[in-house]
Amino acid sequence: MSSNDPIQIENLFNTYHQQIYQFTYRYTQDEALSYDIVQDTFIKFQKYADDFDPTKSHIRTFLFRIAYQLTITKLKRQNKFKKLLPFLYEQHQEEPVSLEEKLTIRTALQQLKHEHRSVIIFSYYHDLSQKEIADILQIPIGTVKSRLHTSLRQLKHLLEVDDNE
Amino acid sequence: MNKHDIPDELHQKLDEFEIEVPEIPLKKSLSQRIANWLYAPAKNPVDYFSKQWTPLKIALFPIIILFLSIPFLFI
Repeated sequence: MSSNDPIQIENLFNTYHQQIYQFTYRYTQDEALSYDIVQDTFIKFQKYADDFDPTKSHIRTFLFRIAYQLTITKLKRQNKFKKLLPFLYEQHQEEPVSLEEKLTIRTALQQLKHEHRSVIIFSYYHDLSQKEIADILQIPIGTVKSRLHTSLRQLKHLLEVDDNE
Repeated sequence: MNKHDIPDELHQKLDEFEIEVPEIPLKKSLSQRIANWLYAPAKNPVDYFSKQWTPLKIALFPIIILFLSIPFLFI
């Protein structure tokens, strides 16, 4: 794939930018950060488009992998800043959360560990197969399966969903 | 995981997380990024100082800042 074809990049952007924003937003719940990650994903894609092999993976998987890696890097950087300058960041965890709010999917997803959150978002909201998720996260399929199982169990627990339906 | 394996109630809860995607241009604008950063919600620093800082820490703060800025004199 040519990384310098602006029309192709624009087509890809039009096709996938919403999915990337939705993933990033559900993962971080940060609008400004998700906005930046969408743009950065396509900038990085232009840089590394030659590494994409269509025989090995789908373009969507490749773009999601870039977006996921950017998200992790940016969150790590943000956490470092939070430690250095804590007074500049809102500290949500100190605020008491009502029971009603506790039972929302937004709060429950934020309570999951990062690795569990990503698999459930990719699997449920983006209909990605376990193999595709494994490709994006660069982990074995077995790990994806176990993380999915754990995240579902934890979500049921956090949202007080009855298991015997 | 198959979506059919998920209980209906959890299905409903997961579907409640809908997202409106804003207009995002392909090209990155520096002014937009600065605006995003400036308008990002921030905690009032006064709250932090009033809760976490003792009078001694507040008194020492300017001294520490002065001390840390010494290397800049030699740049």
